Amino acid sequence: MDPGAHAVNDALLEPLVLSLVVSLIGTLAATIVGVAVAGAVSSRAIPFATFFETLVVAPMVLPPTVLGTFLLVAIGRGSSVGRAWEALFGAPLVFSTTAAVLACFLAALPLVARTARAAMDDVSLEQRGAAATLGATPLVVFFTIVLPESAGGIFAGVSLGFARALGDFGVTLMIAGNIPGLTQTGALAIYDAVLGGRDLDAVRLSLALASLAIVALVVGQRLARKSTHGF
Amino acid sequence: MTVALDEIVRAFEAETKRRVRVSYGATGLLAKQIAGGAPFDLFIAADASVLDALVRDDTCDGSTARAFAEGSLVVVTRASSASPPALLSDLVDPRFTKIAIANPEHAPYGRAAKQALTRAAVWEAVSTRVVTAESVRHALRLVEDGQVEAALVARALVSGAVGLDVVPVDRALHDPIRQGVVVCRGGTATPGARRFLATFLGDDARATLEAHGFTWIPERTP
Repeated sequence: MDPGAHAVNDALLEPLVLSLVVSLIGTLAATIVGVAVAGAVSSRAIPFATFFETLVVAPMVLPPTVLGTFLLVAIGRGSSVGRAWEALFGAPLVFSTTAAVLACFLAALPLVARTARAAMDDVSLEQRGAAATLGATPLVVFFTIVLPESAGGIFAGVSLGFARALGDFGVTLMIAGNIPGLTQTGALAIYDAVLGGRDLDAVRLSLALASLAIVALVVGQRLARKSTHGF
Repeated sequence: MTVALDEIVRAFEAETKRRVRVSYGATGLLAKQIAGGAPFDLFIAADASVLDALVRDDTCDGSTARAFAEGSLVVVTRASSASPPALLSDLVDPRFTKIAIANPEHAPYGRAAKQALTRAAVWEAVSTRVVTAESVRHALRLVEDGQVEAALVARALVSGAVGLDVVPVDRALHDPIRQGVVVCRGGTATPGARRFLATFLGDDARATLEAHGFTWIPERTP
């Protein structure tokens, strides 16, 4: 392969790899938080849990520009969070790879939380009740009964969340910027390619990103089916 | 171009009693939209070279295409924070934690900013601190909001801006930023557009543009 072609392939690979990395980390974080919130709401044992659920689902319904603007105020360099981060780590939170991960986290969280909650609500009161009469606390019930029973739905939600995180654009652009190698994810690279008139690059990146998202969905569906049918 | 154009448009509207609707956006994005059929009557581009493709496929009228002025770059800092750089090379100082420029990939002033930083031999040193904004307007917003310490933006963008220190960038450090204008076929008010174009290329408009730091390019005599 001649050096020119090599350079092009590397240039296209970089944003895709970055997309995968930040989406995976962001979705993992979203899974932990989303499942916890869903569990709290579903158990009906935690007061104000529904309020937290609304908070967690809100990013999905807010326009990305609204969310981005809000985040810039909340974690930007003038904010207490932003200044604390910068003092602690020597570099701003905004326009960093961490900010790109945060955007992925917010993209995946609503989908994971809602899907997980629906799956957990399907776990019957009888099953939960039976465990409780044997002395299990709500937390033990959650980990031994609810979580395994709703695993299928949770996997489906996680794969949805991951696919959504892969494609995030607006919020990533506003809080992480479009910095090649640092925060330029696949979706942003496609935007650059289109505006820069590099239509072939745009098509290649689009096909690659779309394929990744579809694979994520298919894998999620498979895992979901396996869980509910395999005892 | 925003401030200068607003003045020219207001004068035109007052004189002709006709309404002009202006859509501001990044040159590259607008060019894409026009190529895609967006119904604009006139296109003023911060980079005259984007007009070539539009004229080639006759989306815009080549006979009206004209590179009318050269823009210039400035470094902007907030008067209340970091002390301004005297020269471009001062940007290597660590007090400039983040520096915003428009995207060099597709924004003419971004391209010029990167060229200037490269020719001033500071690109290598500052590239890790550079934030690529979507446009010079976005870059200016970033420095105004304190998200970055300094920004390289269009001189015309900061006319009349308060609370900012503005330092001009040596023209020799970048290729000319040629502004272009053309009448497009996608709109529904072509005669009005031509009339505005005539005003836009007239003496009063020229004076306005020069007052905002543009260098007029006289029409080549055929």
